[in-house]
Amino acid sequence: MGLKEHVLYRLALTPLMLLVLLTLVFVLMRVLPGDPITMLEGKNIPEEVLARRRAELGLDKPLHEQYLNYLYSVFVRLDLGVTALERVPVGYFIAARLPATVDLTIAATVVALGIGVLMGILSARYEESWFPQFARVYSSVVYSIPVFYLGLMLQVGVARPYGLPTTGRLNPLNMVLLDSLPVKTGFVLLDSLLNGRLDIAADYITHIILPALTLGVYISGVFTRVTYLSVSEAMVQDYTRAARARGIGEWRVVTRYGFRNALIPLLTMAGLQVAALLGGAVLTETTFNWEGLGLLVYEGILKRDYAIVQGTVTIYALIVAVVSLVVDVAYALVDPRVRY
Amino acid sequence: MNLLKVQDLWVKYRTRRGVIEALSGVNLSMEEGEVLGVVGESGSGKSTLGFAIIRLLPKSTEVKGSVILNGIDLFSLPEEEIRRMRGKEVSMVFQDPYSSLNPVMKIGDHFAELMMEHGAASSRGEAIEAAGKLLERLGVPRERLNDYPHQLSGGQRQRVAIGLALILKPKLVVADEITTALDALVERQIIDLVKEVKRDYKTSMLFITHNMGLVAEVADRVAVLYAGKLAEVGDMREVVSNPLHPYTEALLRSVPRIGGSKAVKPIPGEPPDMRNPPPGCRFHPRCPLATEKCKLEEPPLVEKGGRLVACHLRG
Amino acid sequence: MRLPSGFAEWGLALGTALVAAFALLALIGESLMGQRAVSNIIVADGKTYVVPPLLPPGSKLEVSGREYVFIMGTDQLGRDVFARVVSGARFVLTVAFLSTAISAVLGTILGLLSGYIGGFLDRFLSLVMDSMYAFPGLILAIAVAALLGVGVLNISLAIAIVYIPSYFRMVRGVVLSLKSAPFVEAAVVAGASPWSIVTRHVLPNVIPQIITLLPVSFADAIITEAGLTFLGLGIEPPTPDWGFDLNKGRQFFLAGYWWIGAFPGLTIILSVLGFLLVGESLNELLNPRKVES
Repeated sequence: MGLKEHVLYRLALTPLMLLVLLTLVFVLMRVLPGDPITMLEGKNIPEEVLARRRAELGLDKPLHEQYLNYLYSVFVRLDLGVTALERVPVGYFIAARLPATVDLTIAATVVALGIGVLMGILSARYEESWFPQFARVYSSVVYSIPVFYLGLMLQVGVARPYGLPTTGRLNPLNMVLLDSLPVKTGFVLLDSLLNGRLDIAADYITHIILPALTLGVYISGVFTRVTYLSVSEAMVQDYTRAARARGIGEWRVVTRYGFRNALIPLLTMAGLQVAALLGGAVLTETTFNWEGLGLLVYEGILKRDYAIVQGTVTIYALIVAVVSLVVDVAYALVDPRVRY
Repeated sequence: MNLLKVQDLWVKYRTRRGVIEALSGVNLSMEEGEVLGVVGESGSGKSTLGFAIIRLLPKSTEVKGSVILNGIDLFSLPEEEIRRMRGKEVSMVFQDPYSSLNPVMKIGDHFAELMMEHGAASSRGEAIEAAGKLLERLGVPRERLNDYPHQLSGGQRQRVAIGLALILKPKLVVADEITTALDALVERQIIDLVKEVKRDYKTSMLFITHNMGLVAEVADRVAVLYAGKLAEVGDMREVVSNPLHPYTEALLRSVPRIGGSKAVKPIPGEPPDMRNPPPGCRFHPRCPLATEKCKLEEPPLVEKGGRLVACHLRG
Repeated sequence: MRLPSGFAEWGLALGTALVAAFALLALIGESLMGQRAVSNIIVADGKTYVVPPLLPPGSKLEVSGREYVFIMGTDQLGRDVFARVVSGARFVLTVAFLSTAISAVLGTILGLLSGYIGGFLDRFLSLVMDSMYAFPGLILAIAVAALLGVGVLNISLAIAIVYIPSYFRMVRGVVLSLKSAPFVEAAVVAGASPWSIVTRHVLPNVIPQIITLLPVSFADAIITEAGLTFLGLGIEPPTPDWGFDLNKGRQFFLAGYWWIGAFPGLTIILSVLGFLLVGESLNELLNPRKVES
C-alpha cells in the first residue's frame, strides 16, 4: 500500500491506542487503593461530608458508569473536570501550560539530536580513533546524571557566572506585558514575534537556553549511542561493502549507506525518547520553575489536587498517541519497504 | 602482458582467537578476455582472493605480495587511487543479491551514483538512459530503475548487480559465488547470462565458486584452491577430463549428475582449521594417496604438461 | 585471573566494584550510621549535644573528649550528610531491587503467556504493553505513587509498573522466535507437555536475555526513584534518601551551602553508573557485534 493508505491505516489505529491509554489512566485512578478525597481533605472528615464530596465527583456511581462518563467527558465534551479547591476547569490550566512544555520539548529535542547524531556519525566515521570511546563514556555519564542535578549544576555553574536567568520563562515585567498583547496564540515566541516585540522574544530565549540544554543533554546520550550503533551496523552490511567496491567515496558511504539506513532504528528510538523527554520535562520544569505541564503535575501533587493530576495524565496520553502517529508516518517516509 | 598477475600473495586475518592464514603464497595470472575459475570449499581462501584484488579486506588484515593489473601494482597505490579504480577498472559482484543493494536507494540511483562518481555521466538523466539500455540487454525491464531493491526478485537483483559491475566497462570483473544464494532455476538463468556476457562483451572474469559443475561451464581456465594454497591450475577441459591433483579428482567426483550412473562420493574429512594448518601437504589428512613425504614436506607448485600442480605424487 | 583488557572488561570490573560497594552500604550502612543520619543529637556520657546545622565538609567537632568528623558536612537540620548518604543506600537499593524483581517476574510471566498462547490474548496484551511502553515512565510512576502513598513497597510498585512492558516485550520476542524453532517443534511432536517445553526449552533461552537486562533495569529504577523522591513522593522525612535530599539541598545551593545536595547527587550518579557499566559491558561481552568478515 502506498503512503496514503498507510497514513489512513495508522489514523484509524490511533483512537484504539488512545482508548487503551485512557483506560489505563482510569484503572490507575480508580482501582488502585488510595482515596482522592481523604488525600485532599485528610482522614478525619465526617461521614456525610465524605459522602457528599464523593457524589460531587461522581465516585459513588458503579465503576463501569464512571468509566463511560470519563470517556464521554474526554472524547465528546473535551472536559477534564475541575480542580478540587478552586473549582476552575482543569482544561484552562492545561491550555495555559501546554505551549511552554511544547517549546521546551522541541528545543530539547533539537539539542539532543544535534549533539547525539553528530557524535554518533563522527564515531562511526572515525571508528579507529579515540572518539567512539569518548562518545560511549559521554553517553553513559550523561545517562547517570539525574536531570535535576544537571539542571542544578547548570544553574550554579553557568547561569550565575554568565548572568543568565535561572527560573521562569520571562522576567516579571515581560510576564505582565505578555498578558496584554493583542494577538495571542499561547506560544510565547510566536506571540512576541507576531506583536513585534523582539525584546520579549529575546528574553524568552535567554530563559529557555538552560532548561533546553539540561533536558537536551540528558537525552543526547541515548541518541549518541543509538546513532553510533545503527550507523556502524549499517556500515558492515553487504550493501556498504558493495558500494565501496564500486569506488564510492567514504563520506557518501557514511551518509547515503550508513546514516540513511540508520535513520530507521533512529526514528524508532526518537519516538520512544519522546516519552523520556516528557518525563524529564517534569523534573526540568520543577528545577527551573518553567511554567509547563510538568510543573502543573508537581503542583498538583503538592496540593494533593487529584483532578489536576488526572487531567494532566490524560493529556499526556493524548500527546503520546499523537506522537506515535507522527513517528509511524515518518517511518513510512523513511523506509521504502513499508510503503511499497 | 598479462591482464592480471598475482604474485606470492599472503593474507592473514587477525582475530580474537588467533591468526588465520587465509592465503599462503598464491601465484596466478590471467590473460585479457579469459574467464579464470577459482574453485574451493568454504575456508579455502577463494573469497579472500577476490577481496584482496579489489583491496577490500578489513583493516586488521596482514597482506603480503603484489597484485598487478595491466602492469600497475595495486598494492602500491594510495587509497584515493585504488578507490578510483574500483568499479571502473575492476569491479565485483557479490554473493547475496538480497543484501548487496542499498534498501533505501532506487535501482536507478545506484547507477546514477556510480556513473557520476566516476565521471561516466554528467547528469542523472544520462546515467538512467545508459543504465536502462544495459538492463534491457541483461533481461531486466527498464521500468525497474524506478523501483527499490526489495521490489525485485533475487534473480533480477543479481542481474542489476551484474549490470552495475559491467556498466563502466571494467578490465576485470570478480564474481564471488554469484549464484550460491539463488535457487536452481534462477541460478541457471544467471549462468546463461554470464555466458552471454562473456560472448558479447569479452569481459575478463575471475569466477569464484565452490561448485565444480558451474565453473566447468563458464571458465576457460581453472585454479583449484585448497586451504589457502593452489592445488592445481590449468585449462578447464583438460583439468576436467584428466585431473592431476587428488583434491581435484575428489571435487569432480562429488558433482552430482542427473541421470548419471556414477555414484556421488563426498570428500572424507573436513577442511582444516586455518589457525593451524596441517604440516606438509595441507590435503594429506584427507588424501587417499598420502605418503610419509606428504605429511612432512609441502609440495611445490610445478609445471606438468601445460598445467601447474602441487602434489608429490603427481607433479 | 588476568587483568581486564579492552573497554568492555574494564567497564565490567569498574561497574562490579561500584555495585559491590553500594550493596555493602545498603546492607550495613544504616546500622552503622543510621542514628547520625536522622538526628542531630549526639549522646555522650549521659549528656546530649546538639550538632550545629550547615557545617561545611571536613568540620570537626569535639564532644566530651572524642572528635567527630563530618567529612561531608551537616545539613540544614544538623544531620551528618555522610551518614545520610551512607544510610540512604538501603532505602534506594531496596526499592530498586524490589521494583526490578517485581517487573521482571511479572513481565516475564506475561510475556511467556502472551507469546506461547498467542491469539487474542497476545494481541490484547501487546497493545496494552505497547501503549504503556510509549507512555512517559516517570509520569506513570508519579500517578501511581501519588495514589499509593509513602513506603518502600508502594514506591517499588509504582516503579515496577513502568518497567513491566520492557520485560514483557523481550520475553515475548524470544518466545515467538522459539515457537517456530525446529527443536521446539520436535518436542511438541514428541508429545511433551507445555509445562516441560516452557521449562526445558523456552526458559533457558529467555534467562540469559533477562540477565543482561537486569542491571540496566536496576539503574533505571534508581533514577526513577530519585525522580519520584525529588518531587516529594513515596518518602517521609526523616528517612534518608538521595533524591529527596537533593531537592532539599536545592535552595541552599544558591546560598552557598553546596554540600547538602551535591553529595547525594554524586552518589546517585555513581550508583547508576555502576549498574549501567555492568549491564552494558555484560551485553557487549555476551553479544559481540558483527565484525567485517
